[in-house]
Amino acid sequence: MNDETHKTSRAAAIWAYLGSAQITTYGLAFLMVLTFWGTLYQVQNGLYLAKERFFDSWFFLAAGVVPFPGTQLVLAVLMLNLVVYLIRLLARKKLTFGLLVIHLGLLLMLGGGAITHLFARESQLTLAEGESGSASASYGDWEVAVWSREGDMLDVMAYNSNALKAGDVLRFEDAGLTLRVEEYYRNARAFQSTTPLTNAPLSSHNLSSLRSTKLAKEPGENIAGAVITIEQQDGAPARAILFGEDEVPTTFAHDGKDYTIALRRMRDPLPFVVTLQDFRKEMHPGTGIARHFSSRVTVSSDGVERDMVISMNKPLRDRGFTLYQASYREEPGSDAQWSTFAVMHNYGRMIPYIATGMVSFGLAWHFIVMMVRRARRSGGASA
Amino acid sequence: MNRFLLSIFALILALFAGARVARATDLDYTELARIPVQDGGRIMPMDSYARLRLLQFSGRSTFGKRPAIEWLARLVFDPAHSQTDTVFLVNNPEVLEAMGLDDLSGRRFSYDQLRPGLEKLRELASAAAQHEENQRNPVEKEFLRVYHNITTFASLGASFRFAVPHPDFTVTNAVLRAQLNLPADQENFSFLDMHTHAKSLSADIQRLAARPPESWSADESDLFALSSTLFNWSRYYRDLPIAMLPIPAHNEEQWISPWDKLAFGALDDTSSNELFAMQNMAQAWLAGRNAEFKLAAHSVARSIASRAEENRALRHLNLELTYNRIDPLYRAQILYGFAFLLSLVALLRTSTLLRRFTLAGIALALIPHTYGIVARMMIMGRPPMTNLYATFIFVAWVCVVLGLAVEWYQRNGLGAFLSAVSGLVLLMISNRFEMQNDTMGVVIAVLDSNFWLSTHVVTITIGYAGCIAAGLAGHIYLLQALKYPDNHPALRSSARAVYGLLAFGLIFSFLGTMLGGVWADQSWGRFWGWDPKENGALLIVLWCSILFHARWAAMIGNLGVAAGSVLGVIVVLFAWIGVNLLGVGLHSYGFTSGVALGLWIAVAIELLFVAITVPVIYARRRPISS
Repeated sequence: MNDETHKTSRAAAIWAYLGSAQITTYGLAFLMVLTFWGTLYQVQNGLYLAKERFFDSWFFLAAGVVPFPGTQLVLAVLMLNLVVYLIRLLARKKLTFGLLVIHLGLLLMLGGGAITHLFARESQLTLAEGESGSASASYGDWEVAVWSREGDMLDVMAYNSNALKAGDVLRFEDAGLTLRVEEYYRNARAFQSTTPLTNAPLSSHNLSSLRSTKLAKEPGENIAGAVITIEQQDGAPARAILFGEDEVPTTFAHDGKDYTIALRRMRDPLPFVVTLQDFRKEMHPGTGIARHFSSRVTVSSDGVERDMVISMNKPLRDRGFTLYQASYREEPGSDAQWSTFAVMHNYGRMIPYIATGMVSFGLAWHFIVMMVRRARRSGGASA
Repeated sequence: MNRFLLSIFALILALFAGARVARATDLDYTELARIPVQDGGRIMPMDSYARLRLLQFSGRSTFGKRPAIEWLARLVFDPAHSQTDTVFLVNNPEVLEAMGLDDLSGRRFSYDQLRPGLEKLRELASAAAQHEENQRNPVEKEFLRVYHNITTFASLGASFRFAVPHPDFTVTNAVLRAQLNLPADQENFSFLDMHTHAKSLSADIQRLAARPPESWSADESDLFALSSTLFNWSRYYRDLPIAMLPIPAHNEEQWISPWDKLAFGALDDTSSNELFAMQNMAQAWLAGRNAEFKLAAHSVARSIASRAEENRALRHLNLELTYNRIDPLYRAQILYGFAFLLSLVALLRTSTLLRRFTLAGIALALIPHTYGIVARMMIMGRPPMTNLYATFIFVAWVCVVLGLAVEWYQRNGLGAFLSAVSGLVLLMISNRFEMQNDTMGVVIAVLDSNFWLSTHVVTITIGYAGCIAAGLAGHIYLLQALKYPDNHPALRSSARAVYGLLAFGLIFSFLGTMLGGVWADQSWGRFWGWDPKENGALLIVLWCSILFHARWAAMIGNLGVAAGSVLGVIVVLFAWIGVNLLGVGLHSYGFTSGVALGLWIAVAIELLFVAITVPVIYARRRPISS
């Protein structure tokens, strides 16, 4: 046997092993461990952190030292395994229809998962009764936004601030603005000074300082905070404290124009305007158990208005966006109600539906074929 | 031999028929049982209400072998004589110790027995209530549970006090009697009587209150005293059960108790008639007058039903009464028990006749079992699985049917055994859940979709059942391999059953998991979110897939698949019950306290079973294969 064939046979062996059920078994076993571990992890740390550590990661450190493959890596290996298996299956023309459909469906599902993971956008829209909204806010992502008003138009510029750190510089070219980040915290607490400060920083709420605090279980509970310096082309730079919970944004003048600046949850503009007309909550009679939530809304786009009710299991779908009844808020002692919608934008939305259909069909097909074959065989044996 | 078996079978059936025959009593409770009541957000017959309360207090649905409705009637009409009823189940002796009642023994106690420690219990319970629910330790939970039961008991005892004559309303003053237009032949009145008669005097009483008390005559003082008593009573007796009167204002949906109705003030004719019918009912019960009691209860039930005609739930009151009376799942359980015994013998002796008897027993058991599931669906207007209790019943049903399918395929008694065991064991476990809550209770908002409940939840539950049945078959395989390692046909047949059931379980678990994703996408906008319950379902799918791929890669053989399917039961238990105990995620509803221990025991047993059987089988086999 010469070296060449030895090499090819070794390559073939590796190729075969890549597509083998052994790899699948190990991959599935890893996935099972990760799923179980990630589920238990949620009890202490919440879903968001569990996702970050186990399900959205390629690697993580178990117990702080041992590197462990994350779900992304395991799924990638399984996908490779699946592709090789399918190629080998097709190449050898040894097709079992059921198995082929099952595994093609699984491949589609993994691909759909990847698309959703990479491209889907998820945000929230909270409206008071009577209020309208045309942009949803992210649950966990923040941005530094600067805008000025020209007549009825708002000219908004924004930077994603998730990875901001002290020393970063943000340039808003159109306005000729330069912002220098002095401090940035993903979760901050703000303090007001009891005594009037000389040289007080810009802050709509008279804040005097920020302090970092531990990240919350739920990303929605984190309140970002930043201290920035606004560099003026002429004159001394102005220092500003931006806090995610500021109800009124901070304003300043620059170049003869009034600007507003805010650190806020990242906005995702909607292609339509939603107005909350009425939020309804029904309880099971004589109990504190909720039976039904619904929001009556008016959706206006292209100058046309339509009314609709968004309720549990009945979302609003329009132009690639989907709005779901997610939660609500009430002020004790008043009639005021707020309704929160989860806003989704996902190109890969239909993929899992198709994949589910394929895999289920394939499984059922394979099962029935096997049962019939077995019944025939055992029938033949007894005859 | 055959005749002997037949006579045993007949004897068993006779025993069963006699198991739950009610004894005749002096009073007929059928009309009382029929009165509609609202509890926990749904309308139910008084009969169910009584059973629920009794279950809640004592963990049993009968008291002293008498139906719950009789116990409830005594409690509400004659509370003084109910205080010695031993209805309070105390699960933890530490509770008694803390109440200073160490000398009591047993598990169920009466109000009188517990009374000396009540003040202490109140203190302990309110301290326990300060903690978050998942922070409470088992003793604290028990303090709260027992205390809550005692207060519920006390409020039930007060719920009909408006209808019974009381010394506070004994009127002897002739002037007052004339003023109130009281009947001449009666001195003792109930709150309801006095409330009705005093209505006409409200203007007089107001005038009286405007004058200084010194200027009142003796008769006026008596009138005022009576009016204050009425006022004090109506202040005192509030927020009491039993919600029997629909208020028309809220679309017939809000039901209130007689006391609340009285507190609302003005009574229209209908409510007044209903309240007096209730009073007649109470007084006839106290006097032991059966005909009058039945008639009054009948008119209460009819009047309320006619007012709440629109209510869907009312249409199924009779069905629920029948369901309660038949107790179909209890009957099914007994029949599965006998089928189980027969199938054991059948497996050992391989007798065709015995196998047929076993199948007949299972078929007989399936009748009440199926009836139970269907009746529950009709009563609730929901698919058959809105809580853990219901899923157990359904999983049991699917396992039984799967067992029969295996039997149909293999015809060797294995499937029949599987059916009988799963029916018996799963229904017995379901009894533990029945105690905890109304098993036909309302569902929370997120589950409010019959379409998805009946697709996703039914599919995933069938998946659970498939894997559980595979696990049972796996047990059988391991035991056979241990006991008869050389009986290859039997082993092959069991292995085939394991394999087929596992495949069935995988198909439905996968479909159910993915349909869950579809539902999640429809209602929350994401197909997959790594929520604990989703993960649990995924674990089942992964575990089954691992077994199939490992088998295909020749990493394991039949023994491995069988052992794996037994371990699969643990995975199913985690997905089905375990994740609900974690208390996180979107699916963390359902009543689960006290289940954790049972779950751990089950997990330990399965692990031990595999850990003991597999090495032994493997060690014996090795010399042959090598």
